[in-house]
Amino acid sequence: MNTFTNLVLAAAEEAEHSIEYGDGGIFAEWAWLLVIVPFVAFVAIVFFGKRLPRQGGEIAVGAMAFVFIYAAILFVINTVEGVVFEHSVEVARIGSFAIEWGWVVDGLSSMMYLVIGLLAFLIFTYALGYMEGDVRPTWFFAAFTLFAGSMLLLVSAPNLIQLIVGWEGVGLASYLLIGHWWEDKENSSAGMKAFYVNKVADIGLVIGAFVLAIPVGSFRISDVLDAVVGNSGDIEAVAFWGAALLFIGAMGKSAQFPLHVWLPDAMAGPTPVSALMHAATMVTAGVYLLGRMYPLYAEMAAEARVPVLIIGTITLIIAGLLAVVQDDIKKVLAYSTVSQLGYMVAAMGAGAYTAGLFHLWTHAFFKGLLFLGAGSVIHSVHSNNMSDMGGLRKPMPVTFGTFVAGTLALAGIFPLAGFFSKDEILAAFNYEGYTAVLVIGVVGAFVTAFYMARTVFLTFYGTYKGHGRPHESPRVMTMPMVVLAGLAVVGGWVNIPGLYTGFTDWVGTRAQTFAEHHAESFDWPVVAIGLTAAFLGIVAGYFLYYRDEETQQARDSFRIPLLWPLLEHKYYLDDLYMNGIVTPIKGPIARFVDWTNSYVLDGIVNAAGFVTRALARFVYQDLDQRGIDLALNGVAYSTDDLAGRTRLLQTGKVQQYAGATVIGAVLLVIGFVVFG
Amino acid sequence: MAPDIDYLALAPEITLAVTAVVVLLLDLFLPRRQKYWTAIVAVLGVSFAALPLIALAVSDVGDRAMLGGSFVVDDFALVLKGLFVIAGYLVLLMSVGYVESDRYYQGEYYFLLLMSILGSMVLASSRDLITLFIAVELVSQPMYLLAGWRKGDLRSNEASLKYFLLGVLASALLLYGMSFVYGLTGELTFAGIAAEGAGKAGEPAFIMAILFIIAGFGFKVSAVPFHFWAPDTYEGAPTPVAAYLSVSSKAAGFVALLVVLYSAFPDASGVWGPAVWILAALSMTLANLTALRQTNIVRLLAYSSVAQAGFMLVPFAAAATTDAVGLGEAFAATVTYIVIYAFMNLGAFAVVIAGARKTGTGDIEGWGGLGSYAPALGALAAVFFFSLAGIPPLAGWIAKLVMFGAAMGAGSPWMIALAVIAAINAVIALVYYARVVKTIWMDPVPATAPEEEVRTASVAGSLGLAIGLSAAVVVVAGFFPSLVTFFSDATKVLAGG
Repeated sequence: MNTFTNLVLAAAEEAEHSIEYGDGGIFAEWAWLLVIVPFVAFVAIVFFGKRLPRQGGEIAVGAMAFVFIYAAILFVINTVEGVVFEHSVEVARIGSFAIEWGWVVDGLSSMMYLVIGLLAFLIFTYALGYMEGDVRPTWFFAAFTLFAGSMLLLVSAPNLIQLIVGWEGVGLASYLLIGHWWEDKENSSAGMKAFYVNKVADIGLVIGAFVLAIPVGSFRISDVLDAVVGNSGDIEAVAFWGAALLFIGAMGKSAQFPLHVWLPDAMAGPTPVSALMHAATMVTAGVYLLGRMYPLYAEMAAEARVPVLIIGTITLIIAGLLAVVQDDIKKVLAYSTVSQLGYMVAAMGAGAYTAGLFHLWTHAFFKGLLFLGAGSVIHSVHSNNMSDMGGLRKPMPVTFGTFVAGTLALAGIFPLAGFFSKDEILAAFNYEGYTAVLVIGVVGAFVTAFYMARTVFLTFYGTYKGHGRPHESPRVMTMPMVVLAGLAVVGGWVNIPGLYTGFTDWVGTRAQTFAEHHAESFDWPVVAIGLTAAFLGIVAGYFLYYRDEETQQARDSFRIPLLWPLLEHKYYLDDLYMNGIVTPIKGPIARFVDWTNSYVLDGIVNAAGFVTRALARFVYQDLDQRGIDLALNGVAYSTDDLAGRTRLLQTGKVQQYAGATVIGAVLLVIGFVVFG
Repeated sequence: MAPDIDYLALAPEITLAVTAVVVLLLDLFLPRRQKYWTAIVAVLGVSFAALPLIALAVSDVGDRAMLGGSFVVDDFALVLKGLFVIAGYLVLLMSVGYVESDRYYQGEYYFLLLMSILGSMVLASSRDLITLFIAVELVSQPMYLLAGWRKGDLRSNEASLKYFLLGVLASALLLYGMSFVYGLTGELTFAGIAAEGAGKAGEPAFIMAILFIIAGFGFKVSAVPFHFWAPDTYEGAPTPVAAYLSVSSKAAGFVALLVVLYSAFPDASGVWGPAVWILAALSMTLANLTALRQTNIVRLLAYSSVAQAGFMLVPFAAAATTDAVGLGEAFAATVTYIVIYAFMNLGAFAVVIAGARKTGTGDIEGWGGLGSYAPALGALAAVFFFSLAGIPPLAGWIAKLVMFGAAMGAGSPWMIALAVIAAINAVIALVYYARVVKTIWMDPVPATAPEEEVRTASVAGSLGLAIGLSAAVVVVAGFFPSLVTFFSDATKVLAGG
């Protein structure tokens, strides 16, 4: 039976299972192209990229254009009739588990496909201009395509194994991209850091996946969630642990406190990488995972939502504060992303599935835009530091205009995209009765508006302090920014409480449903408080950084006593990790093990050797001298001779190694006889 | 009366034995310049040995037992023999250029290597203690000599002597344990021991016998604390020999462990399960931590192979706490891991041989910028090292996945703890594997690097073939894991699963 017949049969089967939704027709059946095309493009760039005029960039952009168009079609089909389609092909069997590859088309995944396709297409186009004249553009575009492809593999996964494969692929590609300019050692270390931190978190994901899959007997997400919804099997006993472990994995990718440390360092990569990483791929993976597994968190493992809410809330405020003290424009945006991810995760923790995903959606537009704007500025002034900028409003009008649109959207000013999504999250906190979280969320909104106002004033107002003459970027770079600016303005109008709530319906189409509260109208007090906080933030930024053009930069060095050093050292977390975990393992612990290997064991063995020698002396003097047979003497002699030669070869340790072998065996035996 | 011999079942072994003798004779008569013919004959002989294996695999006779059940050709034996033949073939390819450049004792080298391969073939079929012991010795003895093949090099001498002395000790432990088993059960065949030993699992002498056997094989698979010889021996031995030691010889040790533990002591899994649990945890943790500090690439691979042995032991530990189905799955998990490990580790060693020739050093630091002047080799190094680290979609990831599945599937808290230890170790291991890849690609070419001609000289054809074949398996099996799991599933017969 060929694959195509399989597809058709499966489609028929799916149609039986889910009558209330459409099956998406031929487009859902062929959605595997979304994943395959980027990987084919990756291979093509690696082998043929160098021979093309744009070094392979055209293949990458073409592939992303395809993904975007295909995803848009799926998205439209889903808005019209709601699609739930899932298909899996068995790749191997491992014990009783099937290892499968497949794809899912439903509300959640088609929203993600569209976000990834759209952002990747725009950012890849921008990169054509940004990476012109780079040392290895072919390599860049290959890794970039791999990055997007891995993310699509992750999002399309109908089972946890494929999700992990995509997850690891995203990590690997990010390592390659962050360290892209590896001639500078700092960059390659930043890549390694991102890789390792993610890898540590992945332990949680991998173990969590097994914890959930084993009682169900399947790695399929739909099977696990069916068991959760139907409360069948032994899943209830492990639900909390499974959910908590998966969240650890999500914390790594979505840069939640205290695993957020890799993200600001990841700014070492080229700016298009940062834009894609922060808007559509990688960091959204954790939020997506929570969304994909949401039926688990909604009811059965509701207690696991408590750590999710707490971690998200801590993240949103501490990262927001860190953004205030950065001089590097990309680091401001990086901490801002961490903070906004905190909002999304906290929303998930509070039980607001739609609000969390809605913020992911709007954030993709304005954060992608802000990064492209920052890249445009950096491209022009050749520095990341805002102390080298200032007054760029006039020479870079398009960048300025779009950047301001992104800033207002992020700050949550009505009627831009960020207003609607942030308001929905705050309203959810209020509805669920998490007052403390609501307060922190509002303070976070103030901080967000403040650091973005600071960034705009330091970069675009005042006098220029850098070198050379800044200039506007080429059209290939500004056009994507203009498109994203448009989306940053209107992107939030798809989910207005009481007016039009299309987005809620889109992401709500999925095989396993769960109860969620949807407000009938705005929560007006929350709207008022949130907007006031945002305005106050901008006003505070205006007073501190705009009024006096000449002393603008000087004012930046104003110090908040006590808090400032804490923020400047990033709460000393990096130091804690380096001095508390990495250095001990690399240094003392590894050295200790090394040392134990060669000295302590040797010592034990030496002691054993000493006893043996004493014993031998006893045997020699008391037994041998009394005339036991000569043959024994001969054996003893030759052993001695061999030992002597061994020592000449400086292999004195051989006896000790041998001793260790014997002692190991004997200890095992003693252990078992005594304790077993 | 002559015993009933099934010549087809013995054909692979006979082919190898004949080839070995022909190589030795050829070496006598060939003039010095034409010694390379010994290599060609050896490679051909190993290739021909694969043919009867295929014939046996497709024949529908079923299990072929002879010599009173001491020598059995079943699916398990066939799969492992296939692995030994392929691994031996790859090591021969890696050896050709290496031994030729040393210019001496080619004939003997190939003879000894072929004898060791023959030993591993017999091992896969042996189903009693004596056959097993002889096979294990036949695998090891030639290696004692080959480890010291670079006679002029003091470190090679040291490698050989160390390996020999400790190997003899391990054999003694093994034999001691076996003698107890015989004394207690009065049986030599595994089936007989399993039947007789069923009620004896609690007896101290029986426990001691099992543990001594584990210790003896622990040496062969270089599990902590029986691993001390490995780094010194690998570093001193010719690199193809180190590759053979780390793959074929280690796999032989695992095959012996699998056969003995699962088929002779199935009822005593409560004894050997926990013992292996300790060995697995120790091997993974200590070897990975030590590997972090290695600066020589061969020593790094030595500690890595000790750590990998720890991963392979994890499913053994699971066997103690599960039912018959779980037992079969744990068994298949270890076989899967061994098969995948064989290709990725041989590939890594082949890359090291090629890289050491180009960079002129075994120090990792000296490998900086290899990717810039030998991009294909650099890319393949990344493939093998990332596969060893378990990064998908390379095959090493499937090996790790299967191992986790067996550990978590057992469901006991002890096994979950071991799975967590394994997961943490996978992260630690990534640090040193990734560091090698980073050095190759991202560090500048060191000032001590040899001149341009040496660096860009092409890799020997046979070595290139070995690298290419291993890479193909590592990549393809990552995408189509059923290529491997099909075979490892077939081996479950031995565990009764």
